[in-house]
Amino acid sequence: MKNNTHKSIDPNTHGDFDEIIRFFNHSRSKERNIVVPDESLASLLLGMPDYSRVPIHELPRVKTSWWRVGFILIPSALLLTLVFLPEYQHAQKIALPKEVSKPIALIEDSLYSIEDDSALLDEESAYTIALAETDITSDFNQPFYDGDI
Amino acid sequence: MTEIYKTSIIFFALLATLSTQPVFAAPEKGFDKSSILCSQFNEIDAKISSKITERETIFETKKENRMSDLESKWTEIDAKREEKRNEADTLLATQIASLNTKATTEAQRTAITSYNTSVTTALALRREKIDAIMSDYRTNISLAIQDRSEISTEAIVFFKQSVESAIEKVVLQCESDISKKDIRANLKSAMEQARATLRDTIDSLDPKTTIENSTMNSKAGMDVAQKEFEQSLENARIELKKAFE
Repeated sequence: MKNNTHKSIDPNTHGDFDEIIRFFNHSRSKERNIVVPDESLASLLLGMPDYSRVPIHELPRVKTSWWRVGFILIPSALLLTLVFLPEYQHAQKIALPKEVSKPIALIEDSLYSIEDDSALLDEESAYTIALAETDITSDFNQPFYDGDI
Repeated sequence: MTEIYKTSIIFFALLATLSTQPVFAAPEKGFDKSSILCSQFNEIDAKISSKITERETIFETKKENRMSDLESKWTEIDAKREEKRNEADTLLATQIASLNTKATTEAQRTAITSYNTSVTTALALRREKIDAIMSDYRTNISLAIQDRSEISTEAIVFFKQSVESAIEKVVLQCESDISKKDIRANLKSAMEQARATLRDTIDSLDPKTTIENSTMNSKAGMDVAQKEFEQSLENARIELKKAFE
């Protein structure tokens, strides 16, 4: 398990794919839960770009374009300021000192939430609809005369 | 001898019982009612009339019960609303008392009293508006249900007239040479037609839309009252803040 399964791979050999495949096959036989077929695994590995073969100084450099960043960030910041500034100013205007803010918040919350007239109206409306839809003429809507004629 | 008498009495009693069964039994399955339609029509007419009267009484009772059920629901909802209002008042009083313990100056205590007055006034105004909205809503609902009841009553009157007309036709047809089977078929058809007309009239009534529209309008009114209340509370808060700055 120690040395047989895990051999180091020399990058200079451009990746010994057979070695890798053997390694995965061995792991799969151990774990019995890898279902990737051999050929799929091999083709995937072949399709992978081998960055290890390119020296780091030869790789293309990603340049940060600060004017582009600014072009996105500044209008976003302005927009957010425009949206939230009135809210902030309003909150500052009505914000109470700490010593009284808690009781006031409790008063307001309770006065908004306890008397839920809209919920009571919904309850009344549902009952009224059910009542109004009841057919009080239902006894006439049956062929009650059939037995007589 | 006595045993023979007893056995004979039991035997004859059983025989008599069995022999009278066909007399009181219901007509056989294949019995054609057409044959007795004209001869027993007065009895048939009386039976149908009696059943209609019986159903009319049930209808009137249901009509009255519907209104009384609705009024009971209103009472129940009003009680719930009152309970919630009391709960809100209690909380308000408790929190105002708590607020007063935080006040350190006379100006702050006066500001709290003003705040309490403003909030109580705003609350009373909101409740007044909600009561007015609910009153209008219930008036509209009552009218809608009464309209439906009136239309139902008219439909039943029409049904009765149709039945009476069908019965009158049978009397005339019995005097003519129309076959009994045709007379019976005509009567059944007329009765079925009367019933179908009644059912169509009732089905054409749509109380749901009226109630839903009334509910929607009332909710819109409640939203306006709530927004005004919120604004009043905010104004009261701004005034209170001045005393604590």
